[in-house]
Amino acid sequence: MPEQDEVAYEAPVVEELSVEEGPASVQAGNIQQTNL
Amino acid sequence: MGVKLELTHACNLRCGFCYTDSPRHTLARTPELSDEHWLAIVDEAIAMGVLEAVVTGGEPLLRRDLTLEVIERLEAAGVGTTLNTNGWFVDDAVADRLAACRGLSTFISLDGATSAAHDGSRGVPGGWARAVAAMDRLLSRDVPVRIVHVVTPDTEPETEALIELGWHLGVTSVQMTPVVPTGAAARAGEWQVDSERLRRIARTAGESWPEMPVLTRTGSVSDGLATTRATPLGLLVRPTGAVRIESVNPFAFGNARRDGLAACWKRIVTGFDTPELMAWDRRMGVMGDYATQDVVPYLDEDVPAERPSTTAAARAAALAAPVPAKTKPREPGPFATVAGAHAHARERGLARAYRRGAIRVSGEHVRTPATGSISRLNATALTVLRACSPGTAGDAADALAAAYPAEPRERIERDVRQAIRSLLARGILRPALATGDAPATAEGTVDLPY
Repeated sequence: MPEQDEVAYEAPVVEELSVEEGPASVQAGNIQQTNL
Repeated sequence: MGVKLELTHACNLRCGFCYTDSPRHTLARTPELSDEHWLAIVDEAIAMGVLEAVVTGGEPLLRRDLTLEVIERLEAAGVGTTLNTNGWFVDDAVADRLAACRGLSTFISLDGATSAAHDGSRGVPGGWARAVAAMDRLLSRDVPVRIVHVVTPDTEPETEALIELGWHLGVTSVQMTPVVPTGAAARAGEWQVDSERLRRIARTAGESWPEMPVLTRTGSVSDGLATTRATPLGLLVRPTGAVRIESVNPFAFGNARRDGLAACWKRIVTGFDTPELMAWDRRMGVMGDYATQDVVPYLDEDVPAERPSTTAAARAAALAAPVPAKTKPREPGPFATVAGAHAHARERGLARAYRRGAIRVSGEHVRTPATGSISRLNATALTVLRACSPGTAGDAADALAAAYPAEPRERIERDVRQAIRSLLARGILRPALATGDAPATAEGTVDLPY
């Protein structure tokens, strides 16, 4: 059985990230933005 | 300010409600301006600083070379341009030239979900198939398409099915317009429909078919006139060169070829609110209809603003003018039923090919440099993006169906079409035949593992 079968189907979502939250890399925690 | 250019009287269709009465003029071979004169008027409009233009007819693509040249000049000058067409003459070559005009929108007439309803309304067999093919050609090239649906008592029963058809085709938006009683519609026929019902349909459609705006126009002449009652914001140039304020306002303020467009505009600004014209406007406000008016747009031809009345003899001649008969319907084809028409539209929508826009992808995040926006895609949206890089909507549905075999195919297809709308709106996907941005290549799109 394919691996994906174990994951429940979820409708596709395209979510535009808000400017206030910062760039995606910041939101993902890959770039630290502190004490600027 | 804006300008509406009626490039020709002529039309290949025979709509009984034609607001410009084009079938009558087609039969009468009413004279119209030469290409040279039209291009001079367009150049003058550009020099005057118009921001928006509507290119219309009749069917403007009956004067194909002129129409394309006009649109290209307007676009080159940065004028936002809309082309009104029945789609019949939009072949690949025309679609390619229109697609090269970034910022062009097209309004394509479609009156029924089925060929039976549309062709019956438009009076010529084959029109539905030509309109649908035109929409597909334009959407495949990233040209926005709005379905303009003239709602009559005959076509009203298919309105909801028509909106669904638009969704399957992937059109940009749908507009429902009751008949405005000018031109042919003022001469004969019963056109009244329930506009409150149309507003309800528009509201429901917004929930059923997200990201496809469904708009309603009231069809009320009073509402149309309200836009010109204060300071006029634009002008209309008729095929003869006569200049009016708008379609719903019947008075001519000179002729663009004879007097120049700027001089006509000056006459409008200084003369739109003379006591005689305001009296006509007030009568319209009270009666709200043209039925008993002494001057009716497109029935009484371009009555001079300085002598705003028509004679009984002129009106009688207009009412008696011969019009071409509707063409006899053919044998009903595969698109004559809602099921057959929807199947055709669905097939066209699923076969449409896409490619990546000029984007960067990193894990679940996608950046579109043109706008600076960053989007997050969930697993199924990423599957759609990958399957369409390049590939068709059908390929994306196949990929999701393979990954989630328990999921009904119908739901997956609908979700894919919705996801593609979202991805197109953000420039993450482009139709395969779109031009105007850097093609996404392996070199231009870096997938970084997270």
